[in-house]
Parts: sequence; structure tokens; C-alpha cells
Amino acid sequence: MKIRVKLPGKSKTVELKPNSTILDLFNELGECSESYVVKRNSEVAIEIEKLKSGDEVELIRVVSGG
Amino acid sequence: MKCDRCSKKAVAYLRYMNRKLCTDHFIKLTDDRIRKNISKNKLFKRNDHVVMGISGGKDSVTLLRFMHKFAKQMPLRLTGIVVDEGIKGYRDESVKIAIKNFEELDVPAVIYNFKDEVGKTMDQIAKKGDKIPCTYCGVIRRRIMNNAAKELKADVVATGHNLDDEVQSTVMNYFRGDFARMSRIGAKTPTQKGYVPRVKPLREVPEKEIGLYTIVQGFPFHNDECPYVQQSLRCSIRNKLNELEAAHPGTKFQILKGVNNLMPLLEGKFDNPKLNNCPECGERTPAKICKYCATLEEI
Repeated sequence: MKIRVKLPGKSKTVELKPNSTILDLFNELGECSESYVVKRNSEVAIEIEKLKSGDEVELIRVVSGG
Repeated sequence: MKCDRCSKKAVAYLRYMNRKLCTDHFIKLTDDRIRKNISKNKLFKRNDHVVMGISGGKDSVTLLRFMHKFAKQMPLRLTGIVVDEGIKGYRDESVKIAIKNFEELDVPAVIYNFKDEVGKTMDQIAKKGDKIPCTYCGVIRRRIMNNAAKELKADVVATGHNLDDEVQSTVMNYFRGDFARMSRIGAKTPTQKGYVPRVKPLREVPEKEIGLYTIVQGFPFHNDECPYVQQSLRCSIRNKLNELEAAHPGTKFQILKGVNNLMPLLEGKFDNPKLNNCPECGERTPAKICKYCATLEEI
């Protein structure tokens, strides 16, 4: 299934297996789930939620320095 | 997916507790965690004048928003301090957001900046200095905060340091073999003459949850990273700790628990250094010249 992903500064489309979770998406992107809050179709979502084809996922980076 | 406490949608998954929470239950858990830290460590007394270091980032906005609620119950008087280091494209944006928060809550605030205090912006210092920029920035910022707190006659300075900050500091001190410094990590800094006591109300809240706390409540906050932070050891440790936490939930809390248990054992084990007055500024220092004045000479 195709998932549209918005990361800080970029967007991309990712292909995942059916019934993949948001955590699977993190693994596919090579990103660490500890560093982000996730919105799925504009609503805050948790990593163990299953994604559906056509979902739009935004990864909001919440680690900071300074 | 539903909250473990009610039928509302879950917005937080706390893997270390295996718990899913809705917005209301997550906010309650976070607020309770902060209150418990304040209470067990006696961070404030009734009618204290609390000065808060506010940058506009998620941690300090959370601090400000929480303290605004809490101050009514205690009661406490609140003032914000904003330190503008002069980092173009970063701090100028966050200061605007800090001010927006102060105005919404009707909390007074004072802005200080590096240019006025030391004659240079952090961008200028970063170009000239030999060390990584964070080394200079931290020293200057702490002095400005302390001087501001004294000018404002504050009883205590509150900062937005979170669980991740404490755990990173613990690991950094361990790597450096600096157990003397480790013995001083805590929710409240040890009392030192000439320094307004500093407290960390958010010390037991993970950084990711601070981010979630601001997002679910719609607080305006500046979500960008200091352009100089990538050069620091702390950044490397942060990334490794996040990988460990993702693979082994609860790691950060275990490290914090460890250092909390260690601190009483380290207390009194390190001789208090003999202090003299810095010949430049008069502040107490164990060195010939204090770190702040040494930094000014270097930049």
C-alpha cells in the first residue's frame, strides 16, 4: 500500500505491506520513533496503529537542542 | 485505538508502561508527574517569586503553561526571562513565539540579549571561538539568567530541563568520569552563595511526551533545532539514547532512577573547592578567574 509521508523539510511516498503499522513506517524510513510525534490524516496517532492505503502521515520532530 | 482508561481515541502510547492514553488522561498523567516531582523535591515555597527561563521551544512553553496553572494553587509569582543569544534564523523566531505565549497568559517577561550583555551575538562568537559553540553559549546564558534572577529578586529559577536532558547529562558526566558534577544533578541545584537556586520541574517527563503535551493542547511553540547543536557530544548521546529507548523501552527512566540512587551516595564525597572572588566580576570561583570572565576573554 502507498503512504504519503511528510517529514521536516521533505515529503515522499512509501510502499508498505498491507496491515503495516506506523512503527513499520519508521523502520522503513530508517527513523527513530522516539524523535517524533505522529499525525495520521491530521490527527495525532500512536505507533502501533495500522495504516491504510492512501493515508497521509506527518512526522513532527520533537527532539531539540539549544 | 482506544485509551486504556476510557473510550476516547489514544494519542499517547507509553511503551515503558504499556499504556495507551487519550488527550485528557495523557495531560493528567503528565501534570501529576510534574506535581509529584515538585512536591517530593520541595521545589517551591508558597509566595515564591519564580523566574522561568523561556526560549519559546516546547520544553519552556510546557514549563510556562504548567507553571501558570500551578501558580494559582500554590500561590506563586511568575516572571519570564528570555535570553536572545543572537542566532539568526533560529532564536529570533523562537523569541516571537515566547512573547506570544507570555501575552496569551498575561505573564510578565524580560528579554536579555548576548549583544547587550557581552558585546557579541552567538553567531559572531561561533565564528571566532576555538571550542564548540555550546561551550560558550551555556556559560554566558547561565550568567545572564543568574544576574537577571538577582535583579528581579527571584527566589528560584525554573528551567524546562526534561528527563532526556537529565539522562544525557548523567551519561556525559559518566563518560568524563566527572562524579563530582554528577552528584549535583537533581531537581534542585545545591545552594551556592551568589546564585539563585535553580529547579527543574519537568525533570521526570520524557522529551517526546513534552512534544506531545504541547501539540495536543495547541500551544504555540518553536520547533526547530539550534544550528550549532549537531557539533556537540550531547547530540551524539541523545541519538544513541533514543535508539536504545526505542529498542528497550524504559531505558531512560532506569538511568534516571540509577542516578537518583547514586546521588546520596556521592554526597559529601567530594571536597568543596576553596572559593575566591573573581578579580574581574567578583563572583565566587574555584579558579583564578571565573568561567564567565575567562569565556569573555576568549571570545
